[in-house]
Amino acid sequence: MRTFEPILLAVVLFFPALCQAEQSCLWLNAATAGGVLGGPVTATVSRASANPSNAATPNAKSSAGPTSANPARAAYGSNAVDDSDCLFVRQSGSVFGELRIEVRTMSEPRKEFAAYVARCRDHATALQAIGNQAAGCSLNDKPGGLSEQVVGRVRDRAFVVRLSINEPSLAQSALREKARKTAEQVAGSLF
Amino acid sequence: MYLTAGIVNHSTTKALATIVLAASFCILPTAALAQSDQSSERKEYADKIRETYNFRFGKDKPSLPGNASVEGNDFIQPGAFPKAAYCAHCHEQAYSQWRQALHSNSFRTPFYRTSVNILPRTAGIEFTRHCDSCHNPIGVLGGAMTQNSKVNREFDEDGLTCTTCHSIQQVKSTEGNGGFVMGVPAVMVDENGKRIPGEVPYEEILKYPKRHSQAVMKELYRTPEFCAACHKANLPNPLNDYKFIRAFTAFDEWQNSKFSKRNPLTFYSADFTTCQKCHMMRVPALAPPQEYGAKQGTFASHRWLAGNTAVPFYYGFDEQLQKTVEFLQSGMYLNVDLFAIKKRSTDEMIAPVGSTPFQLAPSDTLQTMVVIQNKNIGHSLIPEVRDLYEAWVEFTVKDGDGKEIYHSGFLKPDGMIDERAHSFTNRPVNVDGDFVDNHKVWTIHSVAYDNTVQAGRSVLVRYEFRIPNNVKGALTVTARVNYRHLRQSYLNNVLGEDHPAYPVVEIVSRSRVLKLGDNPPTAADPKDNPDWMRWNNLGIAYLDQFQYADAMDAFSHVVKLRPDYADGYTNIGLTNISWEKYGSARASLEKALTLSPDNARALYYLALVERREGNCDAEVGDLQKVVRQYPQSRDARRELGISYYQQHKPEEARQQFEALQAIDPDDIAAHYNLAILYGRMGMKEKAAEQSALFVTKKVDPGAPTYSLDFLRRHPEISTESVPWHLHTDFPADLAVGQQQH
Repeated sequence: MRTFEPILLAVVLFFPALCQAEQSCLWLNAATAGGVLGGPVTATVSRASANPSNAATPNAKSSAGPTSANPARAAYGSNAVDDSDCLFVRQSGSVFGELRIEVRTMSEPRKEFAAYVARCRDHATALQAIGNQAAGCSLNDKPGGLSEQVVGRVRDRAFVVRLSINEPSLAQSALREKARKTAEQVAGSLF
Repeated sequence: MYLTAGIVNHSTTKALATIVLAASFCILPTAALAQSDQSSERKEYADKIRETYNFRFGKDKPSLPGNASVEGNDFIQPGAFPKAAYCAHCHEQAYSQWRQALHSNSFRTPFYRTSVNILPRTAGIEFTRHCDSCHNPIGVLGGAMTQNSKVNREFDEDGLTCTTCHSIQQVKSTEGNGGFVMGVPAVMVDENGKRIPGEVPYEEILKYPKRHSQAVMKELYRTPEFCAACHKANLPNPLNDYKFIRAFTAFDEWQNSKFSKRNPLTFYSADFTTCQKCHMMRVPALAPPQEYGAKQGTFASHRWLAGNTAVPFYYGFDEQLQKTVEFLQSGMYLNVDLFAIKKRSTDEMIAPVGSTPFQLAPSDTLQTMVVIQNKNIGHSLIPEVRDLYEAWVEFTVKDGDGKEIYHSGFLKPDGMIDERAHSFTNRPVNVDGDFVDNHKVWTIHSVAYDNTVQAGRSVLVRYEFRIPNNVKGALTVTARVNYRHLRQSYLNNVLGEDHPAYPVVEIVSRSRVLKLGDNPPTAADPKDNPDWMRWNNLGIAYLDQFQYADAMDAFSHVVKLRPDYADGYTNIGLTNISWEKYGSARASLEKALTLSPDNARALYYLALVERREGNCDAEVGDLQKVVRQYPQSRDARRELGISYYQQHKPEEARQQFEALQAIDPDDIAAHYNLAILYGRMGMKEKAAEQSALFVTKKVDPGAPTYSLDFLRRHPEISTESVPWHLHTDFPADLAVGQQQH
């Protein structure tokens, strides 16, 4: 046990450093992504567009916002949240995990969302209580690893959660459950 | 320390503690690791959180604008809370119920997230601590509600998990907003009664079940004060940058109801009944699955059945939905009475309908008086967030062919309720006089109207319609109280307008057949109130609508039918007092006291009469008798305090106002009078504190202008703010002498 402690200490010191190195993902923080992938992650966030015309949630249509006359509070940005992609990667020895989150605003949700569901080809399984609607599927398109995908919608915004882990001991059903829970977190952030 | 008892050796403990610290930030702690040295883990975790935590509301107030706290007054690692799945091993049935209940879904539902997400997007995530002190206490106490949080939010899905409620050690008065103090979660105590943090092996629990009970159960959990920690809320200044505003007060409503046995002024009486008695009814424990919490084959339901149909509908929790509907439709809570008819041609009131013969003819214009009694709910109809929940009266008149003659309270094709419906909702407004949509409570400055029916009280809803000349057959008149969780426009905000229709539940209804020609008396329905009570409820409704002459008439019928009913005479006295006819009140109050000597309710009102008469000693004597019988009566304490104050007895007055404040920490009269009394006693600091509390809690005199702005712009709904109004299809100029919409 004594020889194990320095390693643990290094891990302790290292974990927060990795977390701090992340950029902010609006849909899921790196610590939660790390929980999904089973260890520390590196995060990359990219905005889909600076100010998509219809990226505001219905909340943003309200004139209310901060009511304070206090300039410090009034200075907060609008309620609009831009579309963006988040990529979380965990590499630990031979174990590799990747979590991709993609969020896009749809101008015609009824038409456009079908294209997102089509990403599951004919394997889509409807998932209840994730956003307005969601579907999941197993991809397994890379050799040696498992991959699960959830596509969903919150009002006029589509999201895609894709989770891949090449951990031999991980069952497909466990990965599916991880993907479902992650999708629920993402949808929750989008409401 | 449990870990020294040979379960895990010390060196292992140290190593595991290190792992858990790391896991708290980036990976999921495992159940086995949770037994490690929690205090050092906690300190290291809290130190790390503090480095980046937004202490906007003060270094020593990490939960503000909420009130949640945990022993040690520092952040606690989320992994310190054993997960519900751990508890499920022995409490499988309670777990299954909890999973479908509101408490486990307190954070994750779209209905909550849509509202709370506005704060981080507009003001800052730190403001969410106000809501999340109750909706996600692990997040608040774990320091997750801060910018760029490094906390794994895996716990979000469990909302109020088992060990949030079952770790609470005390409640901080009854101020709400998460006003609890949690202990470090433990499921066992040691042989000395010391709490052992974290999970322990199931075998240990089974070996020492009493030590398990000692750790997870407290008498406090069976009290309404426990529920008050979160079922009472206010909007404090740090949240709204304005002033203290009362939000919802389910606990106070219960305390003022007949079920608390703490209020002598209720119209009816009942056995002492707690929140838990109705919302955690004992249910059979069916084996299997395992439920070790059962006693004599039953255990307290962890469904917390109430009115929320939206969450089980969204999640597909069919059993929870079905049981919620059954709960709402149990017939125990409301009474609907088609009490009276008035013909416009004569203005004579025919009442009570069913007991009194009358005649009808085509072309008659009728006013139907519907009395809705909040009979056995221990709080208001609707409780809590009346801006989101929707209860309303649907009133229909149909002819013999089922053809509709009049309909109020229908659902429109877009799912919205007919604007003219009588609803039990409210309309909070912001500084611009706009309805505060999406539950942005921090923008509320006033309430344009609040049509609730408090526990034990009744409301009179009046509908006017004309019998067509060519009407076929008898008329069927129906009044029903419907409930929808949530308001359609809020559902649209949450889910967009293409969501499925959410359930509308008919809580209660009553129909009567009105024939053209003679209508002889008919047999009462078993669910109908007796006639004396029907008159009594009408009187209560009149009283609340400031129709004092009519209330007097109604209560006079009560004492004619029930000359032995002391409260009937007290009601007459109360009406006289409300009408400021103090002299006329005395005789009926004395009659009540003859029938029921030392009746606290009659004594209380008699004391008010004596005050007017300048009979101070009798006034104080009567109030003292009331306080002796009801030491937790807010009203009696307040009035006795005022009596002592007027008698220049400051010490006695102070005691009463302090006792009042212990009952209701938000009582304005207590703040005001204590500020003065402390000042005169030289207690400057306490005087200043009470003075400041009075200033922030008193109503902003400018607030009604925001309400008026709203009402001016919404004529379709503005008469709902007037207690005495009429629902009719007739144009305003034909609804003679009546408010209409």
